[in-house]
Amino acid sequence: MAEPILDLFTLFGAMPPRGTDPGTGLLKTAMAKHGVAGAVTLSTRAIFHAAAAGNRETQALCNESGGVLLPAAILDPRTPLAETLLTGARLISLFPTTQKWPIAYAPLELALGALASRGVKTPLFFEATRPGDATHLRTLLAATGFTGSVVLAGLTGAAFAEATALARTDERYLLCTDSLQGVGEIKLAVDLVGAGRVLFGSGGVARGSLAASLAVARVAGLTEEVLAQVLGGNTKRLLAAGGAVA
Amino acid sequence: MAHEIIDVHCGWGPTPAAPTWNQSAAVQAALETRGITTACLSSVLARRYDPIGGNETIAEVVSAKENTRDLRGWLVVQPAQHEESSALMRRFLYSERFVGAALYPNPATGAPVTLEYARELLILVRRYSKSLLIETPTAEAMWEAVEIAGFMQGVKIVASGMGGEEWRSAIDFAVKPSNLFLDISGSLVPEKIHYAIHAMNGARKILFASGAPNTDPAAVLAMVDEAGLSTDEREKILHANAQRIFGWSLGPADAEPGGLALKPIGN
Repeated sequence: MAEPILDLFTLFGAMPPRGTDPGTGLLKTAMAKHGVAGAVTLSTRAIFHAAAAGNRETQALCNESGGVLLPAAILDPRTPLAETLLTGARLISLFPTTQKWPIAYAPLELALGALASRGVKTPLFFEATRPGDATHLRTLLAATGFTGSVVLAGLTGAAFAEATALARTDERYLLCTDSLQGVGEIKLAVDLVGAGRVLFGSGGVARGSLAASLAVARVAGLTEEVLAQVLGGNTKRLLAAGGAVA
Repeated sequence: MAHEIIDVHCGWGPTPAAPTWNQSAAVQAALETRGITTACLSSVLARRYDPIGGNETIAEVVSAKENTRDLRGWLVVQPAQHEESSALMRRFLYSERFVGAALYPNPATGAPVTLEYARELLILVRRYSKSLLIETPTAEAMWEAVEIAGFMQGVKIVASGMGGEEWRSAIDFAVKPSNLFLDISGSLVPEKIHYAIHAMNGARKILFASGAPNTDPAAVLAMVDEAGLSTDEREKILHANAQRIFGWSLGPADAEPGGLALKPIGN
């Protein structure tokens, strides 16, 4: 395969009930075992405990990784001045379902507006598990003027239908494979929105399984060329275009 | 036998992403690509809407002589449709092609199967000396399955789904009943296999299942690989335990040929 494998969505750290392994050691071991050259990652501390501390931890461990890991940062609108805690991030992550906050939420609107006014075009990674959230996000992005790409994740059932509908009408929306674990789901996503807009993400090692996600992609019935795009090429292009949060 | 893989719980019915998952050749080709040699199918139609039509289709599919995979069936029964379920059991549960009866959470509400709700039907199931599958997508559902296992002494119960994301609690609940077996479908977390082996003092009550087409069997097999099991644990989970539970001591390939082995009673 010409393109190196890149995992757009990985998490490290404690994730009940899976255990409390700190650091990125398990992630790096799994990546080496499965031939994954690089990954965007985020500490679960940022999701479950404190955005500022978790984003700092992510940055520090990515800086020590020799370029294998790239930092995501969480935008938690419940945190005051959340948009100021993202410096250096290559991906801005929003987890409304996991963190239990709504999309119609003034702090989120304020944060996205602030990012737009600073000219930030770093891609958003949006947990779109709850039906309706992605549709509301589209309205919010239009209102705030944020123009970066949006990767929709956590796509099962009704959320998958919503994400593909958005992606078919607006090229800024991309689909992550993290929850596309069923027979034919990755192929259907590619068929509906195009090979250039489906990106491999596993949720490993804290939430998903890197091995399982790779296995599903490899039996998805994609051509070698399309598989290479999904497993790495698309992520490489996305990250290059978006840049880091200044 | 080292390469035999028995998927003890696999769906039958199309999804938007797998529109041919109700066509035998396509399903068998997908199973073959993933290395599955035997699959125990249950009708999605029967689970959600039409037990009679869905189970009849399964009976037809599992007894087709041209099958390249060894296909077996779970007979979906519904406590709310007692008479229909009773008739279906008389028609199909004597057949060797059906491994047992299967109970699913309420399709409208998602409420798990409870002993009180299903008691009368369970008494009927017990007469057939076959296994019983109970889908357990949550810890609460596993708790109810444990209650049912206590009531159904002598019947082998397969709890499918390992409690989903609540696998740790679900496994803890499931440790005690000697007739309760867990399949590894549900959440794709390699650690849960180790946890189950530790909690249940070995792998002899753990089975391989995918829940396809909602989860690709390739994903569950990769999870097994990632768990780094011993050869003995792996063989037990992938096929040996299922052979023991279903009474296929010689392996499915050596069991009786295709076709419904016994005539329905009462028809």
